[in-house]
Amino acid sequence: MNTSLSTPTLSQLIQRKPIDVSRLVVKTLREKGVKEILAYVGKRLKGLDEVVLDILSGLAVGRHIWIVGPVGCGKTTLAETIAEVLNLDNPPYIEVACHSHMTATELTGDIDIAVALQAGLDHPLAYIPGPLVLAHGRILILDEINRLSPYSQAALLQALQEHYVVIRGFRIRSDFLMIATGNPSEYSGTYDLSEALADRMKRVEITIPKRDLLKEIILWKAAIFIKDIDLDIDEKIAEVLATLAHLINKDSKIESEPSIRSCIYALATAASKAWIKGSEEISIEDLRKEVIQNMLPLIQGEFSSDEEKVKYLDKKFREALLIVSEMR
Amino acid sequence: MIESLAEIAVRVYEHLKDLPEVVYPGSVRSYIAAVKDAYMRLLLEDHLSPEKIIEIVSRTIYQNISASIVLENKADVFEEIKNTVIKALVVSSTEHKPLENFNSKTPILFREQEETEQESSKVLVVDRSESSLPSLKEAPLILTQESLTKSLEDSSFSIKRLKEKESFQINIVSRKTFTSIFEKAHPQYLREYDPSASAFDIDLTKTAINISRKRLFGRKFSHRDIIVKEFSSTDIKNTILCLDVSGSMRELEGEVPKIELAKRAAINYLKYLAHVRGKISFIAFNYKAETLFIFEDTRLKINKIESIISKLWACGGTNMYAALLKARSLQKLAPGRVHVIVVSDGKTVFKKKCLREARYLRKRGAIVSSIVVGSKSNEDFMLKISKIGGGVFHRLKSYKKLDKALIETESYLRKFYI
Repeated sequence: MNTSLSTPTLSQLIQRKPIDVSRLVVKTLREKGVKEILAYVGKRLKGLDEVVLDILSGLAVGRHIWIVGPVGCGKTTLAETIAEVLNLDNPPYIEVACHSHMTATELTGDIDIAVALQAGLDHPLAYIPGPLVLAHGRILILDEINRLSPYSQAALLQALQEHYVVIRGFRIRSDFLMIATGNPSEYSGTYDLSEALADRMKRVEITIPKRDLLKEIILWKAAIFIKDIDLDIDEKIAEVLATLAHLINKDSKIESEPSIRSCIYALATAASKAWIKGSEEISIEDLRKEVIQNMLPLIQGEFSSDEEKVKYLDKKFREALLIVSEMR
Repeated sequence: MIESLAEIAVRVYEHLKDLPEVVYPGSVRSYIAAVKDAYMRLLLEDHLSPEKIIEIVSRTIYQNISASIVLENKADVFEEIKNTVIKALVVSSTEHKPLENFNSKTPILFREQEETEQESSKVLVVDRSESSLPSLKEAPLILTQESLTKSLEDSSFSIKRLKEKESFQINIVSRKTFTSIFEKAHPQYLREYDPSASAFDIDLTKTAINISRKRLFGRKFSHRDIIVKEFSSTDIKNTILCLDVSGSMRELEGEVPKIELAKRAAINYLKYLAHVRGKISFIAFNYKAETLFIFEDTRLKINKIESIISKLWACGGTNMYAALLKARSLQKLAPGRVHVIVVSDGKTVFKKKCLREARYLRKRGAIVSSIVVGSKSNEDFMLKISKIGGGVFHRLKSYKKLDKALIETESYLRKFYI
């Protein structure tokens, strides 16, 4: 990405003119066409056409988006890809990885009193703008928004609705469209979004894709990871993993299921293990081990120890294997 | 179409309000956004079937209101919303036939809307959602009559503004001129007589003194005793601009620091000088004075000069004496008459030395003008400088009008001394 973002001075920021970002989105949609945008996104993520259209329609009418989904389903990649394809400015988006210790001033930026006293308020270092100010005329991606503390969430309210950021009495115009990503509230380390903040966003949900699509995604992504390895992956193995993911997902005992990312890496690491061993195909035993190693940290539910989790995964893996062999 | 969608949204709202598991059916903002969003989402879709419309509208409404809706025991209301959408679409299809509209492949954006009287709550949603749809209405593929008239109005407005700008008067608080009318006839040099000299140029007093002195001592007199006056050109082509860049210039005037306004004004003034083919030297002074360029031809080097001025930075105290001292040293390098313009708030050290320096400059034929800016300025001191220098004095309220004042000073002196 070309980062031609120079630090503007406070007086330049105060004089900023409003930008109609939603109009820019509509213009891009007209120029590029919806099909081309979907094709561009399709090169990175599969099976998300409906979600992409939902996000684009929201952005085109100036609505901020909140993408919700389990870990590793491609929320951040989707947000980045959409911001890239819209390409509203250079750089096309500003991304912030939110965390619970993030303060409001980290989002807005603050005036350095020492520099302001020495060199005046208009010195480029007297006010270092935060992402909310830098995102003017662009897309702002807030990754894991529900990890922000309520105090920091409050800093977003004015910027999202009134398009102004106030820093020590100086009112700075900042027009942007936000694509936030977040996990459902059941996940650990997350805060509930305040009603006022949630009300300003459209909640678009991503769920685990259907079995056949999931199989395709696993095969496609794993092939990218092992492109330097001379090994053909059997479709059956991807099918086993997709079935396993769906089996665990359906289980009411489980609070958080294995991610698509973990399925892809289970296959990729199993393939590389087979290649290291000099074998031409992936053995079931290797795959079983890799599934356990990759999915174990993710599984949350009614388990008293890790051993129980291992047993559970082992059991489910065998079930998936049985289902696939029966189907074939 | 927006009306039909608004009607659906209102029905969803009313239905959710009656449900026992719903504590709060969602905010008005979210419903407005839902209507706009559903409208846009339907436009993005390629092929629309009735099932698809129901699916899209109910999903979009759910996505928009789900964040603000408050439910008991995390109940799922998506199915309820979907059912309400189906009911609303069936009812409204008998009234407005929106399904047929949706089903058509032609873009819905260009369809004309029928205005009908609706319930108050729906009207509110329609009004607000339409008013916040500028991107759809103002940027259509085909220019509509409405947008055409709007653009015409805009252009006529900008022409009006332009006219107002032209007739705009400079907001100068006071102006005084100390230029001398006799200066024009003042001879610069005296020389011996030669046959080419005009008889009117002979300095009779000095010639008479010479001749009477020779007669008194009984000597012969020659053509050398006849003194001829020579007038140098009074036309001003060289300007020295002394700009205050002290710490006080960092203060904001409105939204912009004073130094930025002064820089902008200086650049505008230079463009004017380029037009009248003048040469300029630029002295920026705070506690010391720096010469940025020496009698550069503004017409040829305007870009270079502009880039130098744009890099100026304000800091430190004010020492106008240093600037005037520099101006005096530059005066020697100038091929003709020099005009020194000092721009400052007048709060400086070495005031007496400044006045003395202005006097020196004046003795050597330079004209010193001064422009004092701001309400808390030392007006009297700056007035004295221009009085001694025989130039023009301006007092301005704001740096925004500095360029006009500079140009006026220059053009006044140029007209006066031609």
